Amino acid sequence: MHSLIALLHLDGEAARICAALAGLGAAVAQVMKGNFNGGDLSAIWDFENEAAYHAARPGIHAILNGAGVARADTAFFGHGSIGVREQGLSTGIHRTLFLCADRAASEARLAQFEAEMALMPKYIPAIRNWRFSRVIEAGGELPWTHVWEQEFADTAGLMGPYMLHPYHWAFIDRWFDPECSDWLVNLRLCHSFAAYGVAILSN
Amino acid sequence: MGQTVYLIDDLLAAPGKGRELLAAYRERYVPGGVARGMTLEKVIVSPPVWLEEASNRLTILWTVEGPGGWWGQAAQSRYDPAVAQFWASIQDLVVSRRRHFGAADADVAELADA
Repeated sequence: MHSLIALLHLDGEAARICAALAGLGAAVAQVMKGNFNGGDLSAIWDFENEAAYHAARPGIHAILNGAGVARADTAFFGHGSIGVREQGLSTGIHRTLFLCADRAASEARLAQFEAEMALMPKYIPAIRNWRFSRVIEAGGELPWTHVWEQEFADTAGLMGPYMLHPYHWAFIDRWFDPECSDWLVNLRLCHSFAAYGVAILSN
Repeated sequence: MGQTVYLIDDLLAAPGKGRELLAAYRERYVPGGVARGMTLEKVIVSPPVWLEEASNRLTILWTVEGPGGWWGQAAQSRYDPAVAQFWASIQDLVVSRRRHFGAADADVAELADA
């Protein structure tokens, strides 16, 4: 399976754009406050394969590049490391992180980074469902290399246990920290979260 | 979440550069760290003699209060170009450097149960 996530910064009417995105098969939700460079709307499509994406791409990009959209960050990816603790979770929040691992990114360093990221849910049970993927095609502000999706029961799970757990700040964050010698990830990120009202990662 | 969190800079100085490295750190890094809410607890020089032909290791111990204090300093340093400039400026004085984060063993269970 493959997915496309688009984070849209709007300068026009949200309702019309929401309807247009949904009309092309996306799950669409308003991005919640507290995001960082996360846009105003988040849209997620699932595709059986790359060919299905390429067939849908022109229509989707016509909206993303059309009236009312100031900018869109996008990532198309094949599903990477996936885990489900809470099948059918539809009442929680879905968090998207676009990141660009562009600092001396040898394959060995990327592999270590990816392995450690994929272990976050093992240590942080507030992450109910997750998917960590390499990006095939990126658009927007940076050439995004990875998409890190997580579902939490509520925003408290994201803001509290996820942020406060030492596996996060005392171990993983060194990849994101210019003060650490392992620094790998561009400081510019898209951190976005939204309540879709449907199961995204366990549908 | 008031546990003491330790930030440990482990700097291996270039041969003969230990004293110069520590002076640069004290002069150009410590004031900013303090301004970001960090407390400088200890600087350990190993071995405790300034070597001229070999490397001194500097183990520099800072503390902050809990994960909140940790994120507070990180949010300030990450987007401060002066911090990045400092680390770039000492490249020729170090062989290697690592920064570690930790806590007292008695606090591990509570921190990891966040």
